[in-house]
Amino acid sequence: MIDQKVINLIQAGVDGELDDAGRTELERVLEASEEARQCHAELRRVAEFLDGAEPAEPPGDLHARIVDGITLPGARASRSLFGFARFPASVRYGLAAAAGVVLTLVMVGQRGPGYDPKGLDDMTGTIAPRAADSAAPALGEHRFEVPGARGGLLLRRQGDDFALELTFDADTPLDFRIDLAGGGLAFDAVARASAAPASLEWADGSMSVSGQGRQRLVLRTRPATSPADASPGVVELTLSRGGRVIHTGELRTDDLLQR
Amino acid sequence: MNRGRDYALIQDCRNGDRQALGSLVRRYERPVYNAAYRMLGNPDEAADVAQTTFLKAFEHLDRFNPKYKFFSWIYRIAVNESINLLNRRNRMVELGDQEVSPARGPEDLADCGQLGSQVQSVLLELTEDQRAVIVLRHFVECSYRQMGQILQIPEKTVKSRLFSARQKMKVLLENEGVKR
Repeated sequence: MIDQKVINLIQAGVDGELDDAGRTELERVLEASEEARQCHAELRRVAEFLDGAEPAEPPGDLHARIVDGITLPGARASRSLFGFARFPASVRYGLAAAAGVVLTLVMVGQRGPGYDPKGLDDMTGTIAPRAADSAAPALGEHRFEVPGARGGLLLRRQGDDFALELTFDADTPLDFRIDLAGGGLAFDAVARASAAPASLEWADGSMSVSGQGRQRLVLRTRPATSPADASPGVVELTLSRGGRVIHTGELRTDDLLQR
Repeated sequence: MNRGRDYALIQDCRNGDRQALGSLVRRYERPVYNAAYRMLGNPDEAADVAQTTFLKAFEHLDRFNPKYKFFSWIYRIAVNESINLLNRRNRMVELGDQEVSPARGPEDLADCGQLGSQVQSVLLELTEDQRAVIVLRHFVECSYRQMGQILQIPEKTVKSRLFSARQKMKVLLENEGVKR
């Protein structure tokens, strides 16, 4: 029966934890004891079995998952604007409350004559401020009528900007694509949406809208500043159903924008 | 495991340097994931534990004592998180639920090849304490001293725990007919 000291020596040898003197001692013990040799062989076999396993491959997105989830102390410190963190909590809360009151008073003082409830009747979403765009005369219009749907695209001046209004009434889902880039206009904001479209996407100078039923969408646009898009020309409308184009039209802007 | 380099990266992280964060994570994400995977036997849980480990480490970066090594600290969190998860898993089983995350499934184990599967299968037969010393020794390649620091136990305990774990593994391997 080998004692604990010898077991520790054997195991340390298997784990490469011995210095020169320890290795000499281990050799002497192994030479003298069959039981020690057997223990050494068994421990080494288990160690080799474990060391033979390949490391597991982490998922490809692990690095991003870890890094994206971490906020560094520097970033946290930047939230403490004006060094308010140095004040006691009671003072900080008091300052925050006072700031809230001041802000509310300023906002109340600044607000306009108030909302007209009638003007909000058909509104489900507003991103840009409400404007009296519907009162402005139309600069140009394109109407369409296809089986199961009819509507139009209309351009109005709105101060220095322009409102592009898409209206339609469709029995089945329709997909609209409005290309502004060729018309010397750039998209600014969605001013009104009378009902939530099924989808609304904007990319590379074109707007895609999908919807069904009766809808009105007003886009606030402005004259394009990009040299490539700045020349007035044509706003294109493409109407599709189930991936198939069923109507195309255009709204010429070359002389409209000069007025 | 370059202590000076780690410390420099930690200092940069404290100043909000995300590139340093990326470097430090890159340095340890693989061994931390592997340690968790060998503790848990489940790749999804191992990824979760790896993520939580770094998150906790960086949340408390101000508490990091440069007298100690960063890797000791981070592996300690990883091992503790793994053990906590195992305990939660055990509690759920005790409550009569189906095991939510099976410790090992054929597709999980197949990721590591035949030998890797056998290793994992045997590891999961050990107690959590035994598994922790085996994982740190063989999959993170820690010395006895480092293992003692990570697990916060004396070196003497590390050695005896390692020996008993290997003795148990020897029996399990013999029973399963695994030959090396």
